[in-house]
Amino acid sequence: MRTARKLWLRFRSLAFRARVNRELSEELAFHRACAGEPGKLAGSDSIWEACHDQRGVALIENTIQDLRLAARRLWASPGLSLTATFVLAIGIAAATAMFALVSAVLLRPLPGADPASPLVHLERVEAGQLLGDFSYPDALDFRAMSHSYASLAAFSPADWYWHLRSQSGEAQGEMVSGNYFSTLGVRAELGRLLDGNDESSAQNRVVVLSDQIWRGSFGADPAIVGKTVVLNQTPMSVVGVASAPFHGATLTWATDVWAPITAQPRLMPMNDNGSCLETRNCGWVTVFGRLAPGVTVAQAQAEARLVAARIGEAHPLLKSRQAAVVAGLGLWSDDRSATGRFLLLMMGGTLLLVAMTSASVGSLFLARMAARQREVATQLALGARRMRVARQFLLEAGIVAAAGTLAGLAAATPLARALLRLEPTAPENMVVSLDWRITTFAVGIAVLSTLVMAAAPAFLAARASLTPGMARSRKRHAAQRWLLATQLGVALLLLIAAGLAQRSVQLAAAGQVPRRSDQIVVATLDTGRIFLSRGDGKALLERIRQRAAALPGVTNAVLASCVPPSFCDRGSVFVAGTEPPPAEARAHDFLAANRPDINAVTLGYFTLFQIPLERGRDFDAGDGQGRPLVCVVNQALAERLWPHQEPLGRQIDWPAFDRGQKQKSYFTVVGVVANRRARLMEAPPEQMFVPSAQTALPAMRLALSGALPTDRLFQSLRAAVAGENAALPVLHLRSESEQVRLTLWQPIAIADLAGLCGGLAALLAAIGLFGTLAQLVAERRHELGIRLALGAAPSRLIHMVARDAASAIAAGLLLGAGAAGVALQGLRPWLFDVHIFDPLSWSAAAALLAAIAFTGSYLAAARAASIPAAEALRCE
Amino acid sequence: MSRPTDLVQGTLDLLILKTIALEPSHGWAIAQRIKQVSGDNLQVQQGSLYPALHRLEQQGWIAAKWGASENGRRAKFYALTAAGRKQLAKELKEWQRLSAGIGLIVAQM
Repeated sequence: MRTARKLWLRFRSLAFRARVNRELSEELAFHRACAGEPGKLAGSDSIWEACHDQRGVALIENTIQDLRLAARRLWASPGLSLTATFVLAIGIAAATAMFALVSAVLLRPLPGADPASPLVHLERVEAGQLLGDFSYPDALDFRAMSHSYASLAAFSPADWYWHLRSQSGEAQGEMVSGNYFSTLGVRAELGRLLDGNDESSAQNRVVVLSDQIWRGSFGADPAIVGKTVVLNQTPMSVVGVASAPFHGATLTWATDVWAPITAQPRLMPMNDNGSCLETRNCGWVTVFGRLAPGVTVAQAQAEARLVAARIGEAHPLLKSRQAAVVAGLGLWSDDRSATGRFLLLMMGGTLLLVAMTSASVGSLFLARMAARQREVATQLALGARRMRVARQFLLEAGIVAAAGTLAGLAAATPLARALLRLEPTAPENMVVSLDWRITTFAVGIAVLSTLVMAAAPAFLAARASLTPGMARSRKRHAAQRWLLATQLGVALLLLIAAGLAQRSVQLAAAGQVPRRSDQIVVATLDTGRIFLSRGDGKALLERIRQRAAALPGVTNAVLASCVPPSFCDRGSVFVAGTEPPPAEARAHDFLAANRPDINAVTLGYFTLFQIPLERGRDFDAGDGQGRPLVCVVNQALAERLWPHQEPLGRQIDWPAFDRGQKQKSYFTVVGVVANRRARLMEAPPEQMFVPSAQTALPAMRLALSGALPTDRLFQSLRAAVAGENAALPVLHLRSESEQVRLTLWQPIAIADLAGLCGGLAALLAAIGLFGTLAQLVAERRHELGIRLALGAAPSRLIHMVARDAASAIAAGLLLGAGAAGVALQGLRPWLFDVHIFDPLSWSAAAALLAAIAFTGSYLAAARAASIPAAEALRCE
Repeated sequence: MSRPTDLVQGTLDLLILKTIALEPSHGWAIAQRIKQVSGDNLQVQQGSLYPALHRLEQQGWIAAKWGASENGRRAKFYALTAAGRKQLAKELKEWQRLSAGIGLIVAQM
């Protein structure tokens, strides 16, 4: 009650100040009237003041007064205030957007899933290698034998062509267990979601659509439930639409369609007979679940070990198979840590930019303080308390920071969405909206930058002397030099990072794709999808290849099981005669090392991809089925298998090729090709090429080259496929450069962002430098004028002023170089063939900054020297 | 303005609270009553009275209300609140302790 009354009184004193003051005057007047002393008495003002002070709102009132004053001061120099706000808004928007991404990927639960209790997923580990997915029987065993989970579900990603009446398109899908949606806690927006019946029954021709595809491709048709969508030539009945933000159990791409996992043999034929439902040799199912109440991840892990051991007992070939229970869902643990490192690196860059913006705004404020020295001295002389004077500077910086933060927050969400586009497979509807974490982060940044901006001016104001003298301005000059050096240092760091990233991307792209005049387009053709036998599938692919090669403008058409820079299947191979017994050889299939990429290719592969033949011969028409098995190896593989020896004519055993057959067969090396970097940062992989005529794979990549625009090549490829079999889906159709962009997106994104940050930083450094120098020169106008009048040569004056700045510039460059040497170590995992001390990037960045710095200082100095002496002397 | 009788620090609050405990009064009446009851020994100056009243109001011990004075003019009347009543009891006790102590010292010397 008393507290409420006190609060009310304080509020009243603030809000109805005029009325409260009027009442006070009336009260005092009444007293004087009673005392018979009408009129105003000496000292009545001080009574009034004393009463006023008792109201206990002086601090707030003073602050309001100061705020008004600060706003008025900022308003008085709108150019500076707007520049400062704008600059700060850019920095805060960049850092906040980046943090929003970090939050979306690393901190938030899977969008659309119930966040109530923690989700975990199981990662298959074999011989210490993270392999990710399990077989479907494994998943069923884990579900039946585990007790740590409230429910344990499974899914597998898929890609489809869908048809609905005349419409068609590509869709990302997931084949899911019946309890997938209930485990995730997703709700239906329309109709129903999948349940246990859909997984077990033979009537599993049902699908659920995502909100995004329902709205985007089906026009939010309210009568969609019950309609039939054709997926992979299989009619599937739509039973429902999942509610909006949910886009599947994988964070980084959007799923459009969900089908029961048992529909796999129809929807995604794999393996020889199409079905992966019974065998334990297909690794295609991701197992995840919700922990039962009170169960920890460690307990679940202990149980998973036991379950894996029991499966291993029943199936001795799977003895090495283990399961790791990992908290969270949406990214594999190694992806999560790699993505985390990547995002934190980007975040570090943007935070540097914020530091840079604060320093540069701070130096502008400091420069302005010079102009207010007289004013501060007057305030102090009139009895203003020092803290109150210092507070004014804090408030000014605070207003700028608040305005910058608001603008930055407004721009952060669109910017985060734009940054998300740097990741080519990111889902459209990934949640990057602002939440309390992000807002707190932005406000934290704002507070920090206010402190950085205002620290030096406030400190100097608090210690200012009544007579502004040389000593004080020397202190201010020292602060200005430090801020200048910091700005140049950060700019140097960011520019070096930009240079390194840019060079790295160029080299990486060049390492994967040689310069050539022809365009190349590639697509995946999977004859298993249309239920062809291996033999028929192989024949169809060959007919398509020949038809494509004959099309006008197409210079070459080849089939290969993989095409750089995308991933290749790897296999363990041995020098003939040294291979271990079959069971042990299988264990080798899971080793990280010593497993070359194995690529089945048609004739002309090396020509099309311009891989030089170093020794021996290319494949030829004689290397067909029934002929002796041959292979071509790259230098890396030849060097490991036969160090310093002649590889031609040697024999290689590839146990997986003839596993289960009585007759042992070896591949004879007929040629050696140059190493070609296939993937991103790794050393060139070992590669073994075999003629596709001697193997039979259901899915191959078809590559066309030709002196045509990529659009025309896409048309040619589609026409060649449709001409042979219109039902065969053309998947992952891309140009080679798109493919490079997909594999190199992280370094490209780093290069883009570093370039942007570096450019902005250089610009800010230039603004800060020029502002500071112009002000230093303005302060010395008087002195310079005297020097000129006494006959100093203008060139000497220019030199004098420039020398003044040179030490700060040099210190900044040294500072930045030191910091870069340490901080850029973090960039190492994304650098490709470029050392972090790459002399070109370093010297280019340093030269650019030095040029900016010296141009700025000479311009400022020249302006000083051009003042007529008389005017300079008069201007005081 | 002369201050012939400076009040012991803190006693002004006690005097005000005690005075308005009888009936709500305005500032002038409070000063007059203190002067009258103390036999002209205690004079409260305007410069001390009003800041004290405002302080007490701010503390929530007294509440102000505008009303008509005996001469018909608008005046601000102060009344004790519940919290003020408790505070008065506390200050009275404190005063008795203090004055008894001072009394003992003065009597013995």
